[in-house]
This record gives sequence, C-alpha cells and structure tokens, in this order.
Amino acid sequence: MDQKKKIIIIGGIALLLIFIIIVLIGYFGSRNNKSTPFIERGSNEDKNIPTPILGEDDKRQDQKTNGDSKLVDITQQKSIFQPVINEAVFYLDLDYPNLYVYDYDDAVIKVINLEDETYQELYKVIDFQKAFLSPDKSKMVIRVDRLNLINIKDDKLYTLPGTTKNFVFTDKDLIIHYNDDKSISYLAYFREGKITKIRNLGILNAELNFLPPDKILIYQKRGTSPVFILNIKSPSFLSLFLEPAENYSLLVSQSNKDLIFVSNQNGSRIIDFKTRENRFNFDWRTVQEKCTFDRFLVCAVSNNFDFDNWYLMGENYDNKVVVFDPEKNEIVKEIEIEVKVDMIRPKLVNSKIIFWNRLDAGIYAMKID
Amino acid sequence: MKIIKAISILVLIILWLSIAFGQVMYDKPKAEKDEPMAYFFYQPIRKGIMIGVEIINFKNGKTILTDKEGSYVYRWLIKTDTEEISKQSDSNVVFFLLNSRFNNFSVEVSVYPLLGRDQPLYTFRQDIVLPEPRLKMVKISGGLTLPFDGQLASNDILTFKFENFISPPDRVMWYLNEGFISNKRDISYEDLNSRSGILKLQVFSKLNEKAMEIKPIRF
Repeated sequence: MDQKKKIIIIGGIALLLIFIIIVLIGYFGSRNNKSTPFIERGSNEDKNIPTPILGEDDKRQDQKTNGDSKLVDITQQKSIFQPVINEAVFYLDLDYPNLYVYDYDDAVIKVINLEDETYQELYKVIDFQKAFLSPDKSKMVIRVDRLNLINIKDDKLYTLPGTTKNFVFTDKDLIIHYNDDKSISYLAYFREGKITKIRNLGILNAELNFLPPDKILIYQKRGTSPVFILNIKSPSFLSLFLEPAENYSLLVSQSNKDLIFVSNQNGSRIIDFKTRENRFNFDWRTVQEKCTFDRFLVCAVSNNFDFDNWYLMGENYDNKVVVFDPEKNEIVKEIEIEVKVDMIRPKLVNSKIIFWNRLDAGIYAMKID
Repeated sequence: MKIIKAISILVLIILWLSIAFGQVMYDKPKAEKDEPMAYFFYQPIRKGIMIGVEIINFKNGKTILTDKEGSYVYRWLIKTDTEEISKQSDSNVVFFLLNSRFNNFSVEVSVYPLLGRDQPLYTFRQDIVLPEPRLKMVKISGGLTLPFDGQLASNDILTFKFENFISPPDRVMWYLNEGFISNKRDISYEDLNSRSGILKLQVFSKLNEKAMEIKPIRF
C-alpha cells in the first residue's frame, strides 16, 4: 500500500469519527436542553390552643358532640378522620409542627404548634381574602383588597401593583406577573416595593412554578396551553417544556427538585426534569391544590373530577388518597374514602395525612395504617 | 489490498450507521415541526379582551423573538361575523375594547421588524371560541367562602362566583320554586324564609352576557 492511500484511508476514518462525534453531541445536547390594607403585627406571646389537637381522643369526642352540625358527614368516620383544631379556619400552610391558618373569628393569622399545643398570633388582618407563605416561611403575600407582601422578619409591608395577576416565590425573590388593559403583560421582580421588569409575557393568566435554582415553569392556568420554561438568569427566551394540553397543573417536589408532578386532562405523571422522561403514570387527574410533593407525593383524587367546576368552588367529593414514593417509584398507599370530603394540601405527617377540608373549612388528620 | 477492502467496508458500515443514527435520533422527531408555531392566549378583562402570543421555533425549542421592547411591531386583526378590528402594538400582547361580546372570532398577528422591511417576518392566525360565562352558587359561612351543598345554616349567606364574563354581572335575580325572591347579590336565611325547593339564580352583564344555575335547597 502506498503512502497516498494510507493518508486517504486514515483521513477518511478521521472525518467519519468527527462526523459521528458531532451527531452524538448534537443529539445528546438537544436532549439536555430539552389603599393600605389593615394589617398589623399580632402578639408574639405563646398561647395554649383551646382546642383538641392530634392524639387527644377524649377532647375530640366532646368537641364532636358539641360541635357544628356541618362536620357531621366527615365525623361519621371518627376512627379515621380526627379534627386537628376545633374551628373553621382558612388553611395557609403546614410546616410540621407549625400549622399556619387564618382565624376569621379573631381576624388573625395564627401559627399553631401541633406538638406543644400552643399558638402565636402573626398578623391581625381585616378583610382577609387569601394568604401565601414563601417556602422558607420568611415572607407572606396577603390578599385583602389588594395583594401585599410582608417580610416577616422585620415586619415590613409592601403593596403590590393593583393589576398583579399572580406571583411566585423564588429562593430569594418574589416574582410577579403583572398585566393590565394597556396591552401590558410582563414578569417582574418585586424587591422592597420596587418593580424590575424581567420580560414581556404573552401568557395572560399565567401559573408560575419555581424550579430551583433558576427556572420558572409557566403555563396558562385554564384552557389549552403548553408549559414553558423561563431561565430567570437569561430571560430573553422561553423554552418549550411540555406540548399543549388542556388544564395543566404542576407541582415541583420540595425534596427532589428534579421531579415534577404534572396533571392535565389526560391524566397525571411524574416527570424527571433532567432527563425529561416520565417516571410514573397515574390514570387519574387532579389539581396542584389537592396534592403535596415532599418526600412523598400525596394527592386527593375524585373519580369524576371537574376541573372548571372545582375552581369555581363547585362541590367535589374525593374518592381516594394516593401516596406515591418517588424513591421506590411506586404507589405505597391508596386509601378509599367514604365520607364527604374535598381535601386541600393533604400532607403525610407521622403516619397521618393532615389536610384542610374545603367543604367545612376544618383541618383534619386521617389515620393510615 | 485485503486490508484496504476491509477498512473500506468498515468505513461504509460506520458511515451508514452514523447517518441512520443521526436521522432516527436527531432529525426525525423534529421533521414535522421545523416551522415556527404560535401559541395564542386570551383573557376577558375590563370590558374587553387581551390577547397574547408566544412564537416557538421548534428547531431549538425556544421562543423565536427576543424580548427587547421596540424591536418588533405587532399588527393584529380580529374578525367576527360582523366586524373587523385592527390594532398595532410594540409587544406580544394587545387589548381590544369590546362593545358587544363575540363568542367566536379569529385573530391574526403579523410581526414586523421595527425598521427595514415591509414584509412581515411571521404571520399567524387562529380561531378562538370564548368559553361560556359560568356561575356557581357558594355560601359564606363564618367569613369563609365554601361550596354550596344545598344546605344553609342560619348565619350563612348565599352568593355566587362567576367566570368568563367580559363585563362583570350587574343584574342578579334569585328565584325559589319559580317565584322571584331577590335581586341582591347576596341572600340570607331570612330571604328564603326556611322554604326548601328549587333555587334558581340568573345573572346578566351590560354586554348581554348571561349565566344561570339551578340547585335544590333544603332546610
């Protein structure tokens, strides 16, 4: 073989190898990219809860016999459903043992310690509508006639723009979606009362989920929509995450930030964000408000769930609670329910599922074996 | 010579495999989606409708336009059975004030660079069917808004939630067993006088939108 042929063959092989490497890099690369409201500080002193909490069976029985008749339906299964507190409240959050609620009778946001049976008053709020705590519980957005941000550490209060449509807490910031009838719709940081625009947003009724450390999942809350990803460090572009489907509802795991619970008209699934692969499929659908996703995914499921009806505060009765273990990648518990209950944020705590019942505004613990 | 033949065959096999691999794993899933695609979003708001658009380039899975304000001009056109309304905006969102409600309309947007070209960079069109106005009776019990299950305690207030109205409802009519009982937004235990039966609620807006719900009530 002469020298020329050798050079041609070696050159050809080298070119081919380069070509193959480019194809492989391209493939795997594309896969991976795939007016001031009345809000004031409550008293900080610890107070005893004048109500039964977990484990106080005797008190619980008394409370049921003397309690409101609205609880009758769910209290027909006393051995399974136990009231956590003895009053109707607006549920805000549960970071066990701390339970955050709004008490309409006292017009106050309370944090109740479910272990030592005490509570503290956080803020007195008149004309309360809703409130949302940041994941680290250091900030709170309270809706009265307008949305307000409270920095709990220093009690500073800021009023959000009047046409704030939605918001999401990141690790450090509050990001708001602002839109109005002047053809304006954008995402912005809300820092110490100042707005810093991030980008325009064509999605007008946006639902926002923070995906640590620097991404936000965005989709239209109602109707047909894709799911987009926004990298807040380079916000010029949105990336497509999920193809359009009807009535998406997403929940990011708080313990494994790569796992996302996705529910839409066609069913529900767990997606691994890194690989974009389905980890598990469920043959039911629900909404993020009826689930929590920490170490376990816990969802309340209705056989005939009506998405639009539920958001319009229509009646809904859950048929089962599903507990999914992402580490084992299997459903570890499926509990049938035979009482009238519409669970909000069911959370697995010490072999019990604590939830807010939207039908009577009571907070209950459901025993599981 | 044999070595040359063997190497040539090996090269051909690798070439064939790499092309096949590249096509199957890289090109084929995207072959049908090379063209940019627009996603329209709409929202009834304050006697009008907002429309937004995000344009995706499927080659890289990203929105196609950067977010620099003033970089592009968006020319919008909405058409109903009876009229056409056009508008221009410098962002991917537009607001149309409506004098009457359109249930069905088409929206078209053409995107132009701010300077330099008369031809649009992209034009997209979509038919939109607005969802029907809906309402749901709810009760206020101890300050809390709860689903109405047909039962009302003495201190409860009966009211309603609504959605998909362009103009907020301003005329309300409550009926019990087909008899008119109130045109107030909220009714109480006393308004119903402890009578069970069929409760009917009708609401109307200035744009002639209407919605109704019928529900049994028992005391």
